[in-house]
Amino acid sequence: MKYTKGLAAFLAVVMITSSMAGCGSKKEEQTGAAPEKQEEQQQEVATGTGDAKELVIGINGDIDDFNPQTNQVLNFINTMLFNCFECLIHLDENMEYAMDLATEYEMVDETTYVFKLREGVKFHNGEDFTAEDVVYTFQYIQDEANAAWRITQYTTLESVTADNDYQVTFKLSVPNPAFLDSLAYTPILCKSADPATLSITPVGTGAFQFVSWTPNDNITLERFADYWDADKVSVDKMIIKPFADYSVAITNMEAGTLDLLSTLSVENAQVIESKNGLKVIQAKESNKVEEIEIGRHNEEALRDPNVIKAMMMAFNADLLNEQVYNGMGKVATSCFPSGVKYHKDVYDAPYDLEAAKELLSTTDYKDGFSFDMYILTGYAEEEKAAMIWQADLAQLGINMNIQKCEFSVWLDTYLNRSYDMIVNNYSMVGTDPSTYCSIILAQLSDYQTADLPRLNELVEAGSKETDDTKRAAIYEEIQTIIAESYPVFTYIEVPQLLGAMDRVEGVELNNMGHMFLKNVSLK
Amino acid sequence: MRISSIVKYCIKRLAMAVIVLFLVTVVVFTAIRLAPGDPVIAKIGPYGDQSQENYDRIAASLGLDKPIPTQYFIWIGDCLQGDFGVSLRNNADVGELIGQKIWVSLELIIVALLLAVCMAIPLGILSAIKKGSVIDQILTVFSSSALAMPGFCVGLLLIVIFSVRLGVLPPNGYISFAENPKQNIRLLVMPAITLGLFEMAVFTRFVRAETIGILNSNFIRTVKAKGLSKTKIYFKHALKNTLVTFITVIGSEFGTLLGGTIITEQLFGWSGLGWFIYQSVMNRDYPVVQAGVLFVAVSFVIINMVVDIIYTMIDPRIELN
Repeated sequence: MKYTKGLAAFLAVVMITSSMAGCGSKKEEQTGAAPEKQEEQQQEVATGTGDAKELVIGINGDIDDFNPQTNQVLNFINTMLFNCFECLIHLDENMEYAMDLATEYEMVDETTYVFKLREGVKFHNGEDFTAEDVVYTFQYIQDEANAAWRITQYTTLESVTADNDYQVTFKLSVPNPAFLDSLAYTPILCKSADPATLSITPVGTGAFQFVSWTPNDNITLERFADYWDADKVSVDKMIIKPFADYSVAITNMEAGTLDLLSTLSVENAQVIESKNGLKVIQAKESNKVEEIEIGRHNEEALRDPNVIKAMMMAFNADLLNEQVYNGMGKVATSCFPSGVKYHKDVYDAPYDLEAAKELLSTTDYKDGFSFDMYILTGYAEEEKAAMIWQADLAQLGINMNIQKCEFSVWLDTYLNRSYDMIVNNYSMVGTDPSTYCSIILAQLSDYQTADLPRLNELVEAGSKETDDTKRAAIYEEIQTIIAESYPVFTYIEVPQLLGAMDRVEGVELNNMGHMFLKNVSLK
Repeated sequence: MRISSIVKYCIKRLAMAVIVLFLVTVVVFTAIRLAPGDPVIAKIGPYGDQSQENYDRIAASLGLDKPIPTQYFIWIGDCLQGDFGVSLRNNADVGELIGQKIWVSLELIIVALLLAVCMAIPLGILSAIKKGSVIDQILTVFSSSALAMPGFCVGLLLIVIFSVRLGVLPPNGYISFAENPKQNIRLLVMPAITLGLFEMAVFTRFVRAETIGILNSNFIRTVKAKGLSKTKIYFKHALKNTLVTFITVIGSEFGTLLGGTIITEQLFGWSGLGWFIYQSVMNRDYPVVQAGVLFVAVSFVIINMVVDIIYTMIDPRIELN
């Protein structure tokens, strides 16, 4: 009898909890549209049915910051930045400037740019887009209190002035040939939107407006009815779903509940290509490179240029491309990707283990040494690259300790420059190498390149020089210095890939991996 | 008598719980800060302004510039007033974020455990009664296989069969029961089976071992001698005694699962508390981790207390004190 009572009590607790689960979960959506709309959207997310045309995109990890001026994570940049927000211009799939919120621009002189703005554009909160919003955006970026990461790209921006409602003038303190590349990557904020809530309620002018975010579940966006180019948009809803494992995501694509998979590795691309009804979308070229940054001043042996050169001669990039990247990569011949301006083939240490041994024997480290290589977990291709190199270095007597670390530890190690070597991947912004130089090389100046004053001078000079011939000479010399002293070793150019269901058409993917989805249609 | 002793017992246990929870918060608060990885650097990101001034400014804005003990007392003071702070990633209210995830996790855990218990009791008793028989051996192989198979494999197998091949169940997602009961159940089936299968194996082995022990005890011999039917012996006397310890096991598994269903959640996109805490640890989102662990610790305390009370309901010989 008592047992029956106990069981009844237990069942009662379960029933109460279940009903509370139902009620509590109504609060699941974070912000945004009306509850009826949220309900309808959530049903559609989960069921994959409904009349609306839904585009479901898989990403590898949740997005938890929607402020486009503070979030640097690729998942956000590749999926939301150019679809929820818009820049004045953007770099299209041919890496040419295409007009977004600007209709035309003029370079008045080396330091002055005038942009005419598109009229009749509205923000997602119903406000009209005007020149004041452009001015506000750059004030926001330059205000240190906002911790906008693009602040370093606009150190030469002296002023932004609204000439009238639909024209702005940018005045630079010194010429900056990469200025347009930076603008093509800078989304415009709404002046009247509350900056305090920008991280969870983004307001842009893009084709898709933010509806809700359910942590680790989905980010829902819907077609913006007042979008200035609304006729081209045929998708009603865009749902971004995080996946902790891409094999699960691919299974979901097979089941027909996932349309697109962003930032795809070559390994996963091969799996997708082997499945019926799925396809791989590849950018025409790729600005994405895998590189190893070398802490030349942390491990004594790494200060010796001959040791470094011997190590590079033990790096079998061809084998890596063949075995790990299935021949889809391109073995790097410079620190700049081959599609970028002023690229020159400068690497002169082809794979030759015997020559490497001989060179190492002329140094103080002929008996070898040990060093730590830091790799971010979850990047199988980087790990395999390190393992291939590790095996060859072992033949030189050099012991590589691979340290796999999760992102926050990797980032700590990277920014504190406390590594011997660290693997990084990077998509060069735009077509001009000066952003790479200012983001990657200039930030190494206090660490790895302090003894390379010429390199630091050239980085500085390249960022200001506007004469094309002189710039070519500067960047050629930069590439040569890097190929000789190796503060950074770029080993492969990696293709920009997306997984997609056959029914998805019209995805625009540029060399940096940015997706433009307003022209997407679902068959 | 029972009510007053239960109240007294609860007060005593809650007083002890304060000490336990204090220690848990101190350990979590300190451990997450001692772990490598800095939320300020994560906020700056690889390409942000890396100057010391920027670092100091962000640290101050997140309240991380103060000494750790000061940070602790500010946090615990706020918690006592029901304010669990805001996420370091996006300023979202931590209490709200955790509150959303609790119900999602509870639904999955309760259904999975119910499934496991409903299967484990008859299978465990059957296995014990038929000890050494073919049925016992089949059930032992079955439960051992369920224990040995990683949840990830079971889950993927289910997705491939029911979503990819048969197309009868959605592979991924969550929707609340209140919003769409049918879809909630369809989405719940595979994660509940994945989680429940493992728990069923644990429970079946436990029930079998416990029942075998009880069936060999003197009091069972006595009731057999009294001529009681087998049904009464097994389901009244043996089961009742098995349940006393079985409830402890269920309670303990319940507490463990509150934060420990990460793989199942990730596999089926059932975004519960475990995955959320895990992701917050990865992001070094201190307030979320602290509040999440605090919730799990409080739940453990309450579950243990409830289990003890249920003991006395099943077996009045057990005194609460």
